Amino acid sequence: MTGPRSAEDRIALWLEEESAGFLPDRVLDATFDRTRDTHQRGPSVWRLPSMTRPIPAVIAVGAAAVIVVAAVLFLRPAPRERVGDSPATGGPYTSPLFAYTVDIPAGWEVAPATTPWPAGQRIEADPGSVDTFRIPGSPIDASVAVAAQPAPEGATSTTWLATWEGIREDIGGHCFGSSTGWMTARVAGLPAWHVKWRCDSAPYERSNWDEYTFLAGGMGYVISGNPTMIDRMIESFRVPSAVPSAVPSASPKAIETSSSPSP
Amino acid sequence: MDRSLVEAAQRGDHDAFEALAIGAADRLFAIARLILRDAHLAEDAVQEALVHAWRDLPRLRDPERFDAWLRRLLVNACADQGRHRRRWSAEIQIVRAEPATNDATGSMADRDQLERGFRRLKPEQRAAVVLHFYLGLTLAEVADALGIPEGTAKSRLHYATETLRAALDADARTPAAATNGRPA
Repeated sequence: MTGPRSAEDRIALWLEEESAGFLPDRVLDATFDRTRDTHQRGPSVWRLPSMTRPIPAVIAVGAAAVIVVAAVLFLRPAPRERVGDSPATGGPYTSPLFAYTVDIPAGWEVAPATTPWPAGQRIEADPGSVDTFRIPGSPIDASVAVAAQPAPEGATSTTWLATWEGIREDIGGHCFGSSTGWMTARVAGLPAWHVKWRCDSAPYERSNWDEYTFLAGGMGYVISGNPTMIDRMIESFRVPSAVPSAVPSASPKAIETSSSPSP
Repeated sequence: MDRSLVEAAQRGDHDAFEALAIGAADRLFAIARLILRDAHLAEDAVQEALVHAWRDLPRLRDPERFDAWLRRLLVNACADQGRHRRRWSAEIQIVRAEPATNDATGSMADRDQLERGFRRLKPEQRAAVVLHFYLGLTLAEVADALGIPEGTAKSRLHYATETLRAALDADARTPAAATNGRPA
């Protein structure tokens, strides 16, 4: 009886036979009980530049703007110096919470983090815990998020990457493109890790993003967002009391990437 | 898949999400049960995938990709079930009370050997087999659903198919094998 059929046909038939059955209603009921009690996550600050369509992008920008404004207005007990915030003519910006300094081109806006980023916490848990850089009027809502959290004691560049991978979302996920996987890089003269996510087709190009993560001064830094903006920022990114690099950097402003396995 | 339902659910409309979930539930359950070979684990995987879907729906950038996205969540949930409970492999006992009356596979031997061959596969290989042979996804779509490069999907599927083919061939060579050595 099985002779005329190919192995592939027999596999397909077997799977079809095995698939009979319905999900019990009690499972759906239990699922909906859980979802009713579960808050939806807003569009990620990290991924904000990568919205693919205008309408959700507008929604996301609106939601993020509300969150940032609310955080600034209500979460901070008193006005705080916002060094380099929204430089009209460009110039250095020093992050009040994360201590790095970066030269910002004219016209960029900066929304400084309002709360520290606790160790081990997903960045999405509190959008107020990142510095957000934007280009007002950008057709693709270009933005970059930067934050730093205390790294585990004794962390190395490699162990920090493992820590960060344990915290962050899976690479990519929603735009169904391709990821490079982690590559080595240097930021501010320090060993860093770099991943690129690129969406497959033109309509989703705005979903492209880059991410860098590295250790400096006992903190694990993460820079994520629009690739062009990040390239610009990385050129001048600097951190105080940086962890000495195992591999001396040729230039503190230079960034190099390669596919070697570890920094 | 109704795009307007997806967009409504993305805006927090729980009724819209329920409609989407109900529409997808049986298909998701079938996929999960095929991968996990266990109805209870499959129920848990579907529930986790749907909860994850509700939670992260606002982040789905292209509503048209809802079905593919949900499949990926389900496959991930199946992997989690397997990791957490360490019941991915042959220790899961499938008890079939009686054979199907319409034995479309061709023989009980086929069924036994395919079952045995399938259990030898790693979960990611099982997922590739189910997505390709059951759902009829192309290699590119399988890669999409599993979040892996197309070449990796191709090699997984090739290995899995060869394993199942070998199981069937073994059956053809040794008819008695159909009644021997069934996993305890």
